[in-house]
Amino acid sequence: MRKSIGDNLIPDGWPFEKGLDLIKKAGFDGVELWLGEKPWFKMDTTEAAVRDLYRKVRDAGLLVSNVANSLDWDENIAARDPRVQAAAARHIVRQLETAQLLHTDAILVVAGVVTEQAPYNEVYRRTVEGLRALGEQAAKAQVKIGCENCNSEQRFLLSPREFSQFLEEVNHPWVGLHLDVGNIHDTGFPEQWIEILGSRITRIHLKDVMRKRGRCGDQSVYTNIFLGDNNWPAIRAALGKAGYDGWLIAEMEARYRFAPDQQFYDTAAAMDRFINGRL
Amino acid sequence: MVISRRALLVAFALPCPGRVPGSALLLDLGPDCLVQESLAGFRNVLPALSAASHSTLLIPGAGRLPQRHSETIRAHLRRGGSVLLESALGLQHGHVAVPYIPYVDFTWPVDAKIREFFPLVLQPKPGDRVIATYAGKPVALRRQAGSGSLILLGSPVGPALLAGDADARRWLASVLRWMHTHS
Repeated sequence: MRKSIGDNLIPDGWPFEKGLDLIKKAGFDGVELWLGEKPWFKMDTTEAAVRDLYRKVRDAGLLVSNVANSLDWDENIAARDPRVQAAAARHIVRQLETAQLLHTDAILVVAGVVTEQAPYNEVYRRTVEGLRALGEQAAKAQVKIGCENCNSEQRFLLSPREFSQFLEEVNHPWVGLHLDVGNIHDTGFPEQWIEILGSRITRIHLKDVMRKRGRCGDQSVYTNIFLGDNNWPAIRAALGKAGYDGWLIAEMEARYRFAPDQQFYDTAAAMDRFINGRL
Repeated sequence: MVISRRALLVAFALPCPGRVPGSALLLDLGPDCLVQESLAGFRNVLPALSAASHSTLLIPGAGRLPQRHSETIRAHLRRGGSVLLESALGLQHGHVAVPYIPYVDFTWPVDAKIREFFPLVLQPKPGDRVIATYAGKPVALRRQAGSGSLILLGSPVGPALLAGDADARRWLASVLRWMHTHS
């Protein structure tokens, strides 16, 4: 397994190259690029500029693990407004295109967000239909679409069996699960998600979670690997059982008040221990 | 082979070149089977697993072995047969690791991680081969018994079979193939 971390954790004000240098020095193998997050990678970033991003990644001795996006929360493929759906399709297609330019074979999307005004049954149907169409584009691009489990934030697909059924209904080999082991909170156990959905996992986000704490003001449920309630030996064993040998991508919240670069080193060290099974 | 009348034999076709089609014998211990879903798990998968013979005896979820069954098993082993015996005694004294570890690590006849089910730590005798561990402790072993072979499981695999676990099924298929060739 290889280690990656999102470019969204690069401290504000740092240039891309300085962030990549830190990621490499901390011991990561790759970087996850977030479309829409940082000034260097937006919807209007040109192809030439994307190629230049790739060159910088390679010059830093890294690979691009995948392309995520920070746009799905405002522009979701399951939105009621067809204009918003179209915008969501556009940025997902852009992810597929840039993934090719960046020489990676997976993107992350948050597909389906349930709200009071966007009820579950509507969201489910639109999400399945939207992903079927996008699956065709993904097949052409040879890039897998990984739907992230943002369980409590999405209020959607809350159990691994439901997620499995959902993927069966989408029924497209280029659509799978981008698993986040920190997002399951107290609604389940990530190792059981891995057991049930192992062969459909495209990429994995790592972070820890304090299951008993809800979001409250500045208080986060998320924390650094090994500081929360996830059963890391069980997760590691489940990955072994599922035969997962792909990218592990740290998705941390920037919680360091001082020396924010230290989070990269601490995270890389924790991931090494996790991968090596020294738990 | 004769098994007591309380025993339920589940026979299934065996495509086995050079031999009369045989069957694995699944012994239902009735009230002495403490894990009925393990029995159901074996029942579910056996018809699809081909490599077994009538010299293979499977006993899921045993809480107690009545005398007549013990004698049947001993006689079966003396004749060179193979027995897979699941002990369910872990229900009373199971060893669950803290922090929790979900899997038993099987190392024979193939590597497999199978969900623990109240694993009972076993005490191997000289000559026994430990074939699975849980949290580093032996929970399954293979023993030469007479001219036959006894495979003793301290953590039933039937519930994982019933849940559709591909590793459990692969492991059982491999065990049955081994039993078939060594009986």
